[in-house]
Amino acid sequence: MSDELLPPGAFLTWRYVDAHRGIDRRQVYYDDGRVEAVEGDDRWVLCRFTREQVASARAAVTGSGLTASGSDQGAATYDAAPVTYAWRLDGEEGQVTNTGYPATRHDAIDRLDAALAELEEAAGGWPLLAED
Amino acid sequence: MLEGVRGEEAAVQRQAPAPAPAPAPGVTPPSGHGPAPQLLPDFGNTTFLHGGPRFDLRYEPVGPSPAVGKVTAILKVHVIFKPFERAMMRRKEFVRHRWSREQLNDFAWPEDQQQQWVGRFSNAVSDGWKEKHAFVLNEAGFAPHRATCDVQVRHVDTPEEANTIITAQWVPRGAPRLRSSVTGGAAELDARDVDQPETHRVRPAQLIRQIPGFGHDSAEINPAVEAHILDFEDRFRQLRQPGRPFDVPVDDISVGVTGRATSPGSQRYNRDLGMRRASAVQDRLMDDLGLSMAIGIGTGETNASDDPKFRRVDVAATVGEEREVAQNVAAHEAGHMFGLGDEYVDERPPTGAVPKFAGDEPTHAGDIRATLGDEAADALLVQNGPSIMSQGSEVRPGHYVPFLQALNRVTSKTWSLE
Repeated sequence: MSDELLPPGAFLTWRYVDAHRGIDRRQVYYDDGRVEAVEGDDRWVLCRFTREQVASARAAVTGSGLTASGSDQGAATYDAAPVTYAWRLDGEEGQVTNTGYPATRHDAIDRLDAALAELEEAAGGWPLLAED
Repeated sequence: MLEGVRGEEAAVQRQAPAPAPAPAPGVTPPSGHGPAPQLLPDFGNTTFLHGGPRFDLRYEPVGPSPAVGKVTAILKVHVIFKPFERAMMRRKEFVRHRWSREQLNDFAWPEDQQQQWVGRFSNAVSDGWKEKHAFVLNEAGFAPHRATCDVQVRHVDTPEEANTIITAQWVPRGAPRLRSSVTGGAAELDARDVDQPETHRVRPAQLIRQIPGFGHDSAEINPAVEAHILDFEDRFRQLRQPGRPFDVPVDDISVGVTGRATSPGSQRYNRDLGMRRASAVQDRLMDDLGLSMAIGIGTGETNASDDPKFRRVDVAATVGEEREVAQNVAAHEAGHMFGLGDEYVDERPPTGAVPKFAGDEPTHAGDIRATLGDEAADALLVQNGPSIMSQGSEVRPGHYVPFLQALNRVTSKTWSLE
């Protein structure tokens, strides 16, 4: 696992690449609670999880079935923007890619993403709202 | 064979003689002085119909040349209108977007716009694809024929009747664009794809070639590399002929040479190895082609794997300044519905996905090479350019190969393009 994909101190990351539009987007979840957004060369902290939220996020990685799932190599999708999830938990590392994203579904990724959405919403990191 | 065309059934219906269809717009009809004397057989009043999984094709012959018949490719679609949902805000296209109050209240598909969308999709596909090239038939022992190409969209009531089922996804106004896509017989399009083009900056005329064949840890120009260099130079000289894209002072042609290496070894060593390979090819090209300058860089193992194909140099010759091109996304996605692949560069997809390097062959290259030859296929090698299957709107001859294959099949003749 490269440090670029999953930096030291992080237990989870996702990376989304839309080559047609030149978008390289990442989100990194650190053991210390930081949730970091990365857009190309720019990075910033989206929100901070509490210790309990970090534990919940880590539990969701395995509870979603992600660590036991495989990469989706289904039917060829034109104009796909693949997304990879990578994790490091208790010394074990792994990664899964949905190559047909967003057209094709990956059940484990969907479950994990729903759990992360709840945690990030509670931590104020999502959804982002414009100031009126 | 293009994906999805395999196994299709072609049908030929022979109908009673009917009045000849009107010639295509802009085409002079044959004179009224009776048919030109000729003894060769022709298509007579046969109308050819071809039903394929990706599109139907109808050919109404008028001939022999110089009279012109008409080929119509018909894409049958069933459209499902899908409102935006809160869960979609989590999709990666939208996850960084700051939502305004107005956008949060703009999730529903306006009913009065649905029918308009259907018409706009039809127009986008037709305008993007019709009459870009003409079909010609010059077969010994058969009357010569010519036909223009119309492209139409037909909306059908049930998914079962459709070649492609389209989910037209509403996205709140001002929000980022959906990553539209096509998978098999299904497509997901952003509602704005039909009439709000995306723009990209590209170089206009490009000649791109990969020069592989270097030995392990070597920058020597061996016979395999030599053959690829000669092939590039031959094509370069062809493009310098009068009226061709490189018919400009040689100093106006910029040539970039990128040396690559496989991933084993240190990054620094592989970058140096890539640079040595680039320099070797750069020197050769400057000598042989009379270039006053070529820019060589060594990217080494960047984005490469241990596949020996990365023991290579990529060469790109371009003329003209970078310019902005617009792409109607619906027309681009229609190309996938017809069976064509993507032609834009994707060197760094996430792990597990297949990268596309400049100079790689797109999925349709084999069919084009077999049907139209090397020049047509090489014009569509992967690159960020103005082609409709890359980032622009240019429909090149190779893009008509799905129609050409269907026409060949249904008429049992071998047509070409002009």
